[in-house]
Amino acid sequence: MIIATKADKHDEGWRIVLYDQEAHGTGSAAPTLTHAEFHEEIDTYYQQRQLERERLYAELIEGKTSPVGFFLMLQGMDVKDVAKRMKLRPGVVRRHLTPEGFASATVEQLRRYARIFDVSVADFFWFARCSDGVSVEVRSDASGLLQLVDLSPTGQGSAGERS
Amino acid sequence: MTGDKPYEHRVASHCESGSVRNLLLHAGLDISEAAIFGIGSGPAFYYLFFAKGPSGFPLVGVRNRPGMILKNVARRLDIGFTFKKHRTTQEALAQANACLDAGEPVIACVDMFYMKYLPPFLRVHAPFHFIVLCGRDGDTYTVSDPYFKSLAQLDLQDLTVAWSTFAPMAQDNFLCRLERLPKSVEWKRAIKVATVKTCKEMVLPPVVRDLLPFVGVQGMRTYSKAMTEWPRRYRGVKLREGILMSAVGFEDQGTGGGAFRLMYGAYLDEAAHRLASPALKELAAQMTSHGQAWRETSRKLIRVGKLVPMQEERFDHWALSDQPALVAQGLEEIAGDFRRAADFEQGFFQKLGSAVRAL
Repeated sequence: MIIATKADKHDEGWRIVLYDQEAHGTGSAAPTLTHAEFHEEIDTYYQQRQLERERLYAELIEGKTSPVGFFLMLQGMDVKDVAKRMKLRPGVVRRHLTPEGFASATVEQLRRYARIFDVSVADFFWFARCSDGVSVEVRSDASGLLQLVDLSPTGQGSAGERS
Repeated sequence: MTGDKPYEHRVASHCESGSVRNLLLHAGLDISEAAIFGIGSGPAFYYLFFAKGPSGFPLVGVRNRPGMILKNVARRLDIGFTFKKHRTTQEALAQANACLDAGEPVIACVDMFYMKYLPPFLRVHAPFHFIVLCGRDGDTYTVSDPYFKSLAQLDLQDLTVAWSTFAPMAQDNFLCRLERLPKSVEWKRAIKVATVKTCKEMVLPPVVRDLLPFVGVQGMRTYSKAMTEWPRRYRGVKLREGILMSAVGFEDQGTGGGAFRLMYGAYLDEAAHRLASPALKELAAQMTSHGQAWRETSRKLIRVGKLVPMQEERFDHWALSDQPALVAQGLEEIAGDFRRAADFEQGFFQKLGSAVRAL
């Protein structure tokens, strides 16, 4: 798993349909394709997510959480939701959130977690930071178990890209 | 692309009403998104204190249950939709493939997280996102997502995982096809039935209101009370993100602004024109102003949320400053706005119900 070192940036070109009273001057609301008003907040949200990613990464390295816990918290999910999706008891998922409990998860369970988090099983076992000037392209195979990682100088790939 | 007729993709505020509008448009029936939303009895308020929402705070619903707009529109406009939650994704896929190969677009309900063409802030685990599947090339599906500016591509693997999540409140393997259009639309009957139903759901009878304090206008009051507890219940990033994303959720995540109230104002305006009703026109203007007021409250939420530090480790130091008092004061003021909004909606929906019954 490549840990991004920069926050996402909100796409300035992103447009949404808002119902706006003033736009047509009739006093009634009509749909208008426009910028999201809160695009600054969306950028702030991305910065917060980046900080959260850094914090969770630190916890992971310190052994305070497991890779399953890392992704669960990063994606704002809770144990009950993940347990239902996994068809497991919440207690089992809770156990997998600790490094010790994670070691007892089966490959099949990891494959199901990976599907939910939209990562590959390999992403649970390696976390890398990428320095400036290097681009990384990560591809997962159809099984979701293996990954192919291409490293290249910037300009010949796209950083942190997965497909 | 399916069939002889090219599929016309249009963006919309809301996924379910936008998908229904696009599917009907493809079949030759042009109805506005606002009308679909209104006829579907879209407006609602649920404060689901027992379920966690994508913002990290308890789930707040500002529209009716996912799938209900589709079902209500089918019944009230006499449109021959068939919808089914298939037992397995394979079964749903086989049905979808058969329709697409015959040139017939279909609606599916998926988890928004796996729609990789959407920007990251929309890629949350919300397993009740409606899209139109309008074509396929082998294992690559063409998707008409009302949130996205153009048609998008989704591969089979992503569609499969998004379609069947087993998550709470998910509409797993839900597929809807359009089989028949009505010979003519009875607008008056549909508007009356839909609007009266919305009014009843927003303002429950007093006894039921006490039993279900998280639904309708009473839900808004409960939410306003809970809001003043946020600084005690949450801390750090969770508090900041929860406040900010609550506002973004009311405004920029598929509501058309003002928690769907602006879109409902547009529906009432359209209904007033169709039925030539000055009373309805006046109520439409009131609902639109109310939507604008809601938008202003969301802006206040943003201002308050920004007072909370972005870094977790700065929170303890921040907690000793005068800022938490400002957050508490701000939330107190916003709670007042929500109480006033609840009072307004209680009176408004009662008046609207009477006006529509009299038509």
